[in-house]
Amino acid sequence: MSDLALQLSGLTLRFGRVAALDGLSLSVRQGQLYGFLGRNGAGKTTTMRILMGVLSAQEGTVEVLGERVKKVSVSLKQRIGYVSQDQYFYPWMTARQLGRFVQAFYPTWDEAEFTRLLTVLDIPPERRSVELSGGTRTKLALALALAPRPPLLLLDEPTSGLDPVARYEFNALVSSMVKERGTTAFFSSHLVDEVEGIATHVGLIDHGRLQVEADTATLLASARKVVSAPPFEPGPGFTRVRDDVWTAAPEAWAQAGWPEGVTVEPVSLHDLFLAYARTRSPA
Amino acid sequence: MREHGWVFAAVVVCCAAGLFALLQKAGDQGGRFSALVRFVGFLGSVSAMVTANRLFAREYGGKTQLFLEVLPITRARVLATKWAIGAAFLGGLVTLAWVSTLVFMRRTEVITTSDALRALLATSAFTLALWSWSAMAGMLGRYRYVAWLVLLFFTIYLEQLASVPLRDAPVLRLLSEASAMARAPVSPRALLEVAVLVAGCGFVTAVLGLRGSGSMAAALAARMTARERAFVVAAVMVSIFVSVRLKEERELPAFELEEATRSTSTRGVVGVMTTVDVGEEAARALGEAVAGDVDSLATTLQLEKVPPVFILPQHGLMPTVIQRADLADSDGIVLRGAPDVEVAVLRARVMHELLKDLTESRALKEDRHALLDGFSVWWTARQDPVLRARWWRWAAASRVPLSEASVLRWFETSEQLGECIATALAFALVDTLAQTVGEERTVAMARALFSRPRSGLAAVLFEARPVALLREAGTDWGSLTAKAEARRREVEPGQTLATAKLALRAGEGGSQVVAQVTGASRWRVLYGNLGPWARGQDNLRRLDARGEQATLPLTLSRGERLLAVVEHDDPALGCPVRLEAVRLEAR
Repeated sequence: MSDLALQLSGLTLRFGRVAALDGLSLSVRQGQLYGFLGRNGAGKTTTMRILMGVLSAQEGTVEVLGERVKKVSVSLKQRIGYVSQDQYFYPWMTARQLGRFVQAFYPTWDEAEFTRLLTVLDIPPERRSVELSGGTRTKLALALALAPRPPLLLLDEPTSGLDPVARYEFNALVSSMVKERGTTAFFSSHLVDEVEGIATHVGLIDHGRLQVEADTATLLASARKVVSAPPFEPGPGFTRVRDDVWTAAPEAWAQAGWPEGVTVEPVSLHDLFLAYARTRSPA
Repeated sequence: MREHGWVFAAVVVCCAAGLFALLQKAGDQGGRFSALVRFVGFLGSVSAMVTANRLFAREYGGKTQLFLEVLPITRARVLATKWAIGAAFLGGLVTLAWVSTLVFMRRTEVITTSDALRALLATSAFTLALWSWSAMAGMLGRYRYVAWLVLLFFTIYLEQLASVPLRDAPVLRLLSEASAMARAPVSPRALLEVAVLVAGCGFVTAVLGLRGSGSMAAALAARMTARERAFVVAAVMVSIFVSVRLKEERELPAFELEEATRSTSTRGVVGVMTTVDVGEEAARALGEAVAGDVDSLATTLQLEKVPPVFILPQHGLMPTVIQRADLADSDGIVLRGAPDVEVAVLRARVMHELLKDLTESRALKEDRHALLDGFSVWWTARQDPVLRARWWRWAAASRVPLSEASVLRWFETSEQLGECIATALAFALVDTLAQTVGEERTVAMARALFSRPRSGLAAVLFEARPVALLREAGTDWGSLTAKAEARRREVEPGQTLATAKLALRAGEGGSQVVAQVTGASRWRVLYGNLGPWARGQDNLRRLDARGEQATLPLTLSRGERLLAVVEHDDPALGCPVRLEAVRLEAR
């Protein structure tokens, strides 16, 4: 059996003339916390919605938890926990009622776990969802997603509206689920620093295409900032991403000799994100 | 269900109140399942609209649909569940209404179980069709009300432009009088129409909800842009304008009565039905007299087209009563009167109806109604001294004098005098006008007032006004009525002297109306309740009486209003005389 939790290949979806996804391919191994980075409108939410069966791709293949699917089935959905960017709960339902409602759809629902998560995440169980803050609603969505103990978590920019404390709590819980239970988390965001702190792997999407994908450490090791005046071009084996940001195999960086006046600096994921995401924009 | 529970509860409460009111009304008027049929037609439509709004439009608009769609359940199942919930809710509502109607109506009528089941089948089938339409409209999101408007316009088109009675329209036939009476089995054709509609709407609902991952329904649920709103408002206004114009310009087929004896009219068709009492000779003579009036009027007023006129003699009517048939789908003037109808009154009535139709009833406005009534008589009698003398004698019998006030408040004057004497009084006015300003000028005034072509709003805004026309002719209401009143007083009516008085008498449980008459041996009271907006004289009940006193067979409770009129047929005059007309209110 494949150890891939997710594999997308040549995924394409157009809304009229706009290509939301333009041949997206990526793969996520089981047990990874995959940071799916991209600017607003890059195609992150569309990808998530295809994975949840809300949208269907026009071209390409989707493989989820080892099953190649045209459309995500009900049984497959029962093995996925999903937290979206905005929460659209029925406003009159309390956290407890929402738990009871969602529970009916998941055979693996763990009520004790749900109660524990409500406590850990500090969610008032008897308060109506309309009375909860945005952050608490997101934490409630996470509790609902984790209670069935799914092997795959899809998190669609869940922390973009949260304050730093709530964001920390959210990320810590996701990280612990990945580490302790071996859950795979596919985490989309445009908050690069946050992803850098928790993601084991990173994929960068721009205009519906994956620009780069690697484990976080390797990705950072293969990119450097080459600063010089006048501009210096390192030569074969090095690829310019944008301006002074270059990529190469980590050993190429170690073996290369640099003339006087040229400084080579490590880059952060933030620098790399800016370099890739701005590639098609005018300099 | 919990999400929409309080709205559903509110719908149930409103429906219960509405059904109660309808049952009360049906209890008074009879009609077995008429309350249920009305309930399903009106409150059922509103309930279906509200239900579809909650289950479909609101869920997509508020994005709670997205919450459902990410759960492990297929979109088709979500859609089917909502459809089934809506159908079950409305079905339950109709069943409850049916049970209530059955229990209520069985108190006074014998209704068999099979008859009751027919009514249930018809109303349930209609509700199913209604729900399938509502669900489809709900999936149209911001355009759902446009869908309802399209349905409304289609219904109006069917009834008013295509002349298809609603009782014969597809699906709507399930709410016809036959369903209300539940005497015959439900038509299989109607059930087939329901099946086709449910299948069609269900297909569209499924396409909207499932195709493109439900993106169509989600996109349609977004709020309208300002441009869309403007477009929809403009489209609705244009539709209303076009339908009104189409209705106005619709050429109705001419009414035809092949059995009638035709008269030689150069401008239109005039026919009189022959009966046992009215032989062919008499019918032809009457027809020729009417045709002469029609032809001369058409020539003088330069009318291009005159509607066909048919006269149907009918037993049982008083000689002075003439009724006009309401023709919904054809053009024409069809009058019925007693075989011994007063010919002078009949001829005047034909002219009256002709002029009323030509002006689309604008001639009935208070400032010219007396001129219409007077001109109609004057035209038929102007060259016949005997006839003119008779109309003058009737005018002289009026207990209301001619004055500017009595002419400009013609509705009140007519109510006080009754049709015969009031029309005679109007004749006196127009005859005096013709004597004062000349016949030519009188005809010119009539042409200005009554022969204007139908040419829309501008013609209404700039139409001729009697005051201005009189001023141009060198007279005014004051001097004209004074002159006519002076002439009227010179005529000896020769009527029977009779008086009447109507009064309320407080009694047990309410007030009773007592009429006292002196000077007439046989008389009658015409009476009818007045509603908040009722003007009066239509559909009055009649009590024939002899002697000096009669009590009406009704009791008025406090605040109830009644129009009561005492009339007698004066043998000396040959015209019914209204002795008293009052509006009473019980206190």
